[in-house]
Amino acid sequence: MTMPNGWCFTRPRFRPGEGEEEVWKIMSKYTQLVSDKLREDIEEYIDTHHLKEGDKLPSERFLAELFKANRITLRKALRQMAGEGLIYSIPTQGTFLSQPKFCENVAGFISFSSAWGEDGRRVGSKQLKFAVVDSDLKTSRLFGVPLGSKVYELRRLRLLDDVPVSIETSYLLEETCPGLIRFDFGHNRSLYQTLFEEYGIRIRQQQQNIRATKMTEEETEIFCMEPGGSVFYISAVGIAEDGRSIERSICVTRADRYAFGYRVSLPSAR
Amino acid sequence: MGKYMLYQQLADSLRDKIYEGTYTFGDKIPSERTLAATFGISHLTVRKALAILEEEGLLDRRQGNGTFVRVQKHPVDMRHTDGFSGMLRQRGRAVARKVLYSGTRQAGFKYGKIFGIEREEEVFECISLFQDADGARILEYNAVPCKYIPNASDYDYSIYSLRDIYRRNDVEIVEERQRLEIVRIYNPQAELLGMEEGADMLLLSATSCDTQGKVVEWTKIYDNAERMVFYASTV
Repeated sequence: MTMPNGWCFTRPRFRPGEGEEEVWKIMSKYTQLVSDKLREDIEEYIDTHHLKEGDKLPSERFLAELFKANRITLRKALRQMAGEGLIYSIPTQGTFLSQPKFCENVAGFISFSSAWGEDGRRVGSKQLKFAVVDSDLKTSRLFGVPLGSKVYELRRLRLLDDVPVSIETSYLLEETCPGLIRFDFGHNRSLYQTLFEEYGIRIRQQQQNIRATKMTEEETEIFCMEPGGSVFYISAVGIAEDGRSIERSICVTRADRYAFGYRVSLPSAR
Repeated sequence: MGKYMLYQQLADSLRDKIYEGTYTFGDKIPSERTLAATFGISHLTVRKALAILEEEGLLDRRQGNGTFVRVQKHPVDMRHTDGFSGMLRQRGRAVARKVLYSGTRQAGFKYGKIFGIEREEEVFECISLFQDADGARILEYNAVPCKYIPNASDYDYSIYSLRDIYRRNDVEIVEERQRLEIVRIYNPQAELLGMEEGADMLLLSATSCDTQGKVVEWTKIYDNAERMVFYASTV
């Protein structure tokens, strides 16, 4: 394989020490600079040929010849890209460019409807369930109420540009917002706006706990997807201005279509 | 901002103790009664604070047995950041850093695009593996254009973080853009992190900008942590 310009191999400089032997073996076994380099070539090809989402990538054979690479290495590079959700394959049809993920700005993000609406996205919301239920252990503990207290359970499917992206389940104490049940949250009615307008409660803070998991069977059906999809599992607590915990929510968000972004301003040293 | 409620204060203080390592995985924390007596607050307040930490996955309450710390793999608080190494330090435990690779290359298409530099310019790359006592691992990829840190390859990165070196070179980083997503990982990343090939993993990528808005550092970390904690507030 010839090395095009713009890339120079440098011998890894490893500082051997206790316990590092094994890691070093792994590293040298997979000195994967070749497939990493190929991936860069493919990404450059996509860029210079102005390929967009939904466009088809050239065949493996073509790419392998173009970059003078071996097919196994090329496949490794493509697999890495697919693993990061940049491309996807359809059997017998080929490999295509994915749509970029929706990237939610977490810092300024409180309300799904207002945040994405301002971004110019088509925001949709479907009410899957809205009922008064008995509080479970977690909800009771969070709100500091006895087990079996009356709580609202509101379950919504969130859509962005008509793509179903998350299933959000909210729990609120009935006594916090009596009569909330009369509203229908199916037509893009915002829960937070309703809490503010009808009950004078403004959610000011949210604590989110994010982890990666797989969709349940039920979620798979709601999203109309193949089983085995990855999701963010986000449990959050919405806190009002007076410091009260108002809402407990569980949000299951498709990892293939969603990412979280965050801008940190760092304090100036001077 | 609203009032800083007692139960929040207690929750924050307990959370800090967990992050700082005063309480570590498996530790039993003081009983509700003890906490209430120590701080002179009601049982209800203590219970609310514990409920918050339980919701965050930090505590595990076992009926009739007590409350235990659950952070086997440490959550990361994205708020306080001094680069990812800073985030790691926040995990509170002795974290071993191994530099797997460091060296320079030409920017090429990839780094040319990330840093907005010519493809012939030199970029310093560094790959490190962090591991703490519990087996939590983080694989970090770093890159900086050599023109911002001319002697980048002279430092020992098992001691210094790139941020330390920026400070020494008078490069001031004022903004960091982070992105969190879930990716499927393969070798070598999978093996280095002790995961199966094809496993899902949290990937955090970030670019740091200086006072002129120039991108001066690029970072990508794979984290086998089970969860991240994020706090959002409206202004």
